[in-house]
Amino acid sequence: MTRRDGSQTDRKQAGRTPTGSTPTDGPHTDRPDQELRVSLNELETRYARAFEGMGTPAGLARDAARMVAAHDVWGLGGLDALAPRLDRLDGAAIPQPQVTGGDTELSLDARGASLLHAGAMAMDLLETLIAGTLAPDTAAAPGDPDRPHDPDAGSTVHLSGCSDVDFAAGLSALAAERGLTVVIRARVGDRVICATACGGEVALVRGPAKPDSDPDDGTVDLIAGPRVAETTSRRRQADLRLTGNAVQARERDAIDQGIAVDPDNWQRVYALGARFLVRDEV
Amino acid sequence: MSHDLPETRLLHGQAAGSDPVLDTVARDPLRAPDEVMRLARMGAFHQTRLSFVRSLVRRMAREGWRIACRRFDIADDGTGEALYTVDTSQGRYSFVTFARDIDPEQRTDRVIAEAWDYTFALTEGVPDADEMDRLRANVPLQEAGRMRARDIVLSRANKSVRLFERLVDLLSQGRQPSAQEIGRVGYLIRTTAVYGNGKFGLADFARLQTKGPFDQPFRAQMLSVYLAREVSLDLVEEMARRRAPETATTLDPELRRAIGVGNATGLGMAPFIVGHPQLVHRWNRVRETAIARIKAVEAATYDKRARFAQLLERALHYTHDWATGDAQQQAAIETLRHELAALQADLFPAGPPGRLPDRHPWRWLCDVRAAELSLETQELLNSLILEPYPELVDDLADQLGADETDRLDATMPVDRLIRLIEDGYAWALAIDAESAGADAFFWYRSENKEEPRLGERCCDPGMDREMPIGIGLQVQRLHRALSDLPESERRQPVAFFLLRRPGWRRLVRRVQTLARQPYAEVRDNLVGGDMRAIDLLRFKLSFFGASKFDPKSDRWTRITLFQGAPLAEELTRGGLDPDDWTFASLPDDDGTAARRQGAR
Repeated sequence: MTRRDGSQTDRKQAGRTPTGSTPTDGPHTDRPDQELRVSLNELETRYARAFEGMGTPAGLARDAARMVAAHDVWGLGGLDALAPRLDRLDGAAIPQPQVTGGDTELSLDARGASLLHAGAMAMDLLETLIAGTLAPDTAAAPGDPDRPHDPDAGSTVHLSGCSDVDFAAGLSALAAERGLTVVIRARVGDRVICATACGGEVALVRGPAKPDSDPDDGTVDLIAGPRVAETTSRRRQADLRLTGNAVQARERDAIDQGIAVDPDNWQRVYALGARFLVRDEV
Repeated sequence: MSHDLPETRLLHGQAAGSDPVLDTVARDPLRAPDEVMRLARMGAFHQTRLSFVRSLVRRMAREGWRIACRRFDIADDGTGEALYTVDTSQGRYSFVTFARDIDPEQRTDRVIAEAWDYTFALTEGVPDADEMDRLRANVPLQEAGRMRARDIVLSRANKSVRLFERLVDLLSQGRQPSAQEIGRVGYLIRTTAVYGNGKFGLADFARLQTKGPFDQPFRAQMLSVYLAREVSLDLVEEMARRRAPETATTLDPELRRAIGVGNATGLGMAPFIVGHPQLVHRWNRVRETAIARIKAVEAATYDKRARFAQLLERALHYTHDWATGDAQQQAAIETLRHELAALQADLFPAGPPGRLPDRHPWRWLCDVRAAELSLETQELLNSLILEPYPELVDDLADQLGADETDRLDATMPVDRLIRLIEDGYAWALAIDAESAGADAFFWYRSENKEEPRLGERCCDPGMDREMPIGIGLQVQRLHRALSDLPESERRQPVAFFLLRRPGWRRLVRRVQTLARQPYAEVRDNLVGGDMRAIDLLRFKLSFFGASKFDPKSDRWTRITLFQGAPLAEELTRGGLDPDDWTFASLPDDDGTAARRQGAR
């Protein structure tokens, strides 16, 4: 695959893209005055194909696509944030995360993986904590589904060691589709992102971090149970505050009007997905 | 027969037997998914009164949708633009046509074509000058253009040059074509793609579901095809008038009605079926529910028997009009014709009420009498028995949409997932993966417009970019991977398996999502050497309401849509039953078809 800067990815060397091929061009952008808008369906489909094109397993690619698309829909600039990271994500290995902890609290070390890859796995583990299907002793050897589960104990997954933590808000889209009531809290530099999923809806706040109570920089906490209420941010200072109604309004707008995307960035996403296309033999 | 079995067994022990929305009317047990979801049977499906074209026309007539030509700027050479509006019960929509003059060599049915005689868009409201400029700049480009969320469908078509020119010629001389001339082709234009649901910036289906009349799958696409038919009929008459204004005439309404829209369909439909399993389940569940409702009818009145006898005769005529160059399909048509004739002679030797049993006549017909008949005939009978009972069937036509959310249950213990596979995917585990040809094919997308293709594993390039269509073999491998785990890991939630083996995430999610949707999967090996992709195409096209399946190979087919359907002006004018056009026959010279079909 030839990048815009003329370099070539390793994947091309591995033969994923037919030599000399011209991948599907994607939408034409020869009219600079023409705003490029895509549909939500198109956005999620093309992101998923792009992630697959970069080597992400299909099931995780779908979740990563949903996370990035959620950022676009909510006005958080998913594509613009993703574009400069594509080179790094392209062909990136997904190390098997390490899990430690007990039956109400787990730590997941992503070992350098992107949140776009490890986030869905963390959500899986949180769901097992909530359901009480995790082992009583260690997460590494769970297996007593008959053990009485105390739902009042709450559940937390601390996800560390991953990049792209600023996509944490998108993780709440995965929680919402599972119908979970969860707070996702992530520290990015001196800011903290707090996303609450409840009843299939999402609300977002972003503001200055509180060093004493917010997670460490580069860490994401996924919290369920009684602590949701106490964790849900009522921060007075916020540079972004989207209530559940506001998020829903943006989702309706996205469906009604499509989503504006940067043509060059979108072209790159298209091209990554095109790696799975096969040149016809004449 | 299967209906004697307890329903829980029919559905492989899954608690999917009852659906509170669909099961509001007494019905027989549903046919088993193992019986229905086989390629050979799916490849014998026919249109029903649940098909999208039928439910669309019913709705248009019921609500009095008005279709009007607002602009028809077509030059003498046939190029130009046209604008039609559709006033529905929930708003006005526009259908914009761009007609071009293309080189005959460019006129191909393949989706990879770059130029078309006609390109169309269905859009909300009425486009103003700026909107028309935007549509003019994008619609003729098709996949290479960009649409907006207010645009609903993008499509294109090519002329059937021979029939189009012949009709212009005859009409310009004030003459009518013969029914046979029309019958040989059946349409003036062939659509080669009809896009919706968010493609190229079009409106997402979610947008249509919440407002407007297109709340059922493919309803907007079918309206576009219907409108393209109107445009084609108006075009041929206009071209005749321009050629000879003094002598030109218009098409006889009977002949006009006998013209549908052709369609060329290739492999693109097959990945759709695998990619939308919840929708496939819903369509089949609804269709099977309709059949089961009719089979539960205890006694059929004289009128119902007479209606069935009339439709049986019409279907017999249809088999005489239906011809194809495909040897296998032609043989099936001939068997169908023979079996229908024998059935007619057996059941209705002197017309209605005939010899159907007094009790549960349709159950007897479908489960006992039809058991010895070909699949083609069995499925035709399943379509026909629905026709006399709109009061038992038509409510189901509004239930063909599905929640397509897929759901991973990370908490499910691995051993339970294994049981889920063994329960719901026994058909997949039964595939002999070691047999010769078990994975003879692979599916891939071509660089040419991302068109799905079928490659042979022995010799075609692209295997490393295979699409995940062979669900059966994949599930078999997943089952093996899960079963090979140590017992301690089989007791763990599947989240831990996926942590170690993220490559299985997509398939685990699929298996879990479809656990209670037994009609979701095609229960055959879709990469096996004996797989006929044409069966997948026919299955989907039957739900569209296609007729006259005319396979051109085992990978693409031509069909006709809306042949015999009421014309736009007939939707509100009355005089015809807008729902009585199934298995339409061509009009005979003496007009007998008109008597067979719907005239009142």
